[in-house]
Amino acid sequence: MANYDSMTELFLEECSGLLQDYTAVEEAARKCGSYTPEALNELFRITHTIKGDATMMLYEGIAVPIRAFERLLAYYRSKKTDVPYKAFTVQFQGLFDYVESELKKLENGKMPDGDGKETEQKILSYLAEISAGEQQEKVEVSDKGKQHFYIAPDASGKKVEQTEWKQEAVQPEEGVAVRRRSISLSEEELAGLQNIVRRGNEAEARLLTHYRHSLELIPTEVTEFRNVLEELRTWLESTSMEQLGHLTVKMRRVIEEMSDSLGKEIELTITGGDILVERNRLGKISGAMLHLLRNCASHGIETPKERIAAGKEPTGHITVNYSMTEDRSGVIIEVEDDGKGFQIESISKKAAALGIIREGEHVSEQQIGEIIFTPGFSTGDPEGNYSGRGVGMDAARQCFEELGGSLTAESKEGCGVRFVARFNYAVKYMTGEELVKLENFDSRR
Amino acid sequence: MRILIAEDDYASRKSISRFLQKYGEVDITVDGMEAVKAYRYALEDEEYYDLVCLDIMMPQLDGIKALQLIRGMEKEIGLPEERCAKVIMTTAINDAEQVHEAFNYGCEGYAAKPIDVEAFQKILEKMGLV
Repeated sequence: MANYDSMTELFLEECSGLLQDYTAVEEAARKCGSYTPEALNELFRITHTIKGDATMMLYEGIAVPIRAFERLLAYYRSKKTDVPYKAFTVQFQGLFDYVESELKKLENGKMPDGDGKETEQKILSYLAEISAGEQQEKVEVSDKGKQHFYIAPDASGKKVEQTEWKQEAVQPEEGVAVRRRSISLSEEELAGLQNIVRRGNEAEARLLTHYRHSLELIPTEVTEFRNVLEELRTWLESTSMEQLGHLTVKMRRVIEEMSDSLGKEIELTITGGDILVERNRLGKISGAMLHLLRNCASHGIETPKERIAAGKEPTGHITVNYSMTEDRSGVIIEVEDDGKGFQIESISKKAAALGIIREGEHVSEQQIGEIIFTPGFSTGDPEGNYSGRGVGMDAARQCFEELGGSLTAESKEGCGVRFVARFNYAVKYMTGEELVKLENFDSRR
Repeated sequence: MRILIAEDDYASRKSISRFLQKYGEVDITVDGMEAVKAYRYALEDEEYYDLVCLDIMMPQLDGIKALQLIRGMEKEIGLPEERCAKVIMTTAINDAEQVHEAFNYGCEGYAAKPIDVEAFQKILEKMGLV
């Protein structure tokens, strides 16, 4: 419920997502008893990202132990072999708990002031132990791309006495959030509040049925109540809802990073960003959406060379469109790319190898669109180590299903893929007037 | 260290320059155009700036455009990375999209106003300027 500096908010969202990614990999490893080199790479990627972000935000307390963990992971990666699950659970758990508690501080509007040295020491001494006597080929953790730094506005006021830098606190531009003290509401409390407002809407609707044929006769006192209710609705919406456009920054960053590392040119177009969604669901939706985007960028869009050979322009396009369902009960998200589409042959082969279809069985484009959602399929994970663990297409589908919706994919080989995700609002939001229009609204209730 | 400041508000200008004076020579400009000119002269005279602090909202030429022009000039003459100035945007705008846009255009730091002095000193250290 807090309104932070938008960079801090973005940091929190991203790190929460990354911690979830950690959990997914860890659970998969626990199930099969070891971390594969791919799993280690994933852990490394997550750690590296948290490191960059924490360093940018100047949260050294978080960056310090993360760097140590990164070195530990680099050591394990260098072995290029599976690592037993139990090998570093203590260090991993310690780091995870520490980062989680620092993030909690941020969520409550406080500075993450842990110094992280203890956690760092535990990891480094363990690393020294296990690599004792080995040729310390300096596994350098390369930091490609320069480090950026962001300084959040100083909200403490403590600097004012310093004549060094006396600034009139500049009036923030409209829409710019400044870090303030916050009170947080639990999900139940928020749902309770939403329920009360909904009852208010229904009461308003019952009142309006009396004036159905003569709206101009509504007394001013009633109008005043309606205005108050409207203000409450707006306030509730602004605190509990967030624009989907909020995800734009992250989405662009992911596409940029992937374009760079994969040597592709990708243009991302986003429309309908003003559609609102419950704030507490945004993280989940964000995770699923980023997965779809990554899929389009890595498997869909071809390299400029491939595209030219296919008679397309070198720059690939990914479009994201948000819209509301007609009855305004939910949201539709479309993610479309103009890449090479699902490759029927290779997917069929993979599916046959995983036992999803019979060898040599003919599969239509439509069936392919369903096969990719099979648990364990997209991660090429025969034993289902990653299935249902928050990783892969099936997890993205599960996310939307949990929100009362669905995720489907249509593809045309050579032309591209179109994902359509739908989900419902938790609370169907209708004003009294809209309720009255509902045919089956009973004013005698 | 040679420092260039672009800031259109008098009070801010004074504060910033007083704060940075202890680190080296400070040149002050009042808008983006002046800053870009000053940077060009510095390149021509080979008296390179180590640090440039740009406000974003400025008349004539805003900070982002000034940043682009500065980076453009450096690239044009093939200035080696060590000689390119570190740029910190100093501004009241701290919307995440703006921040990332600025990073994309090539600045190393972004300090939202009112400036946290301690943090600013820290990033000067991290950038290897002090």
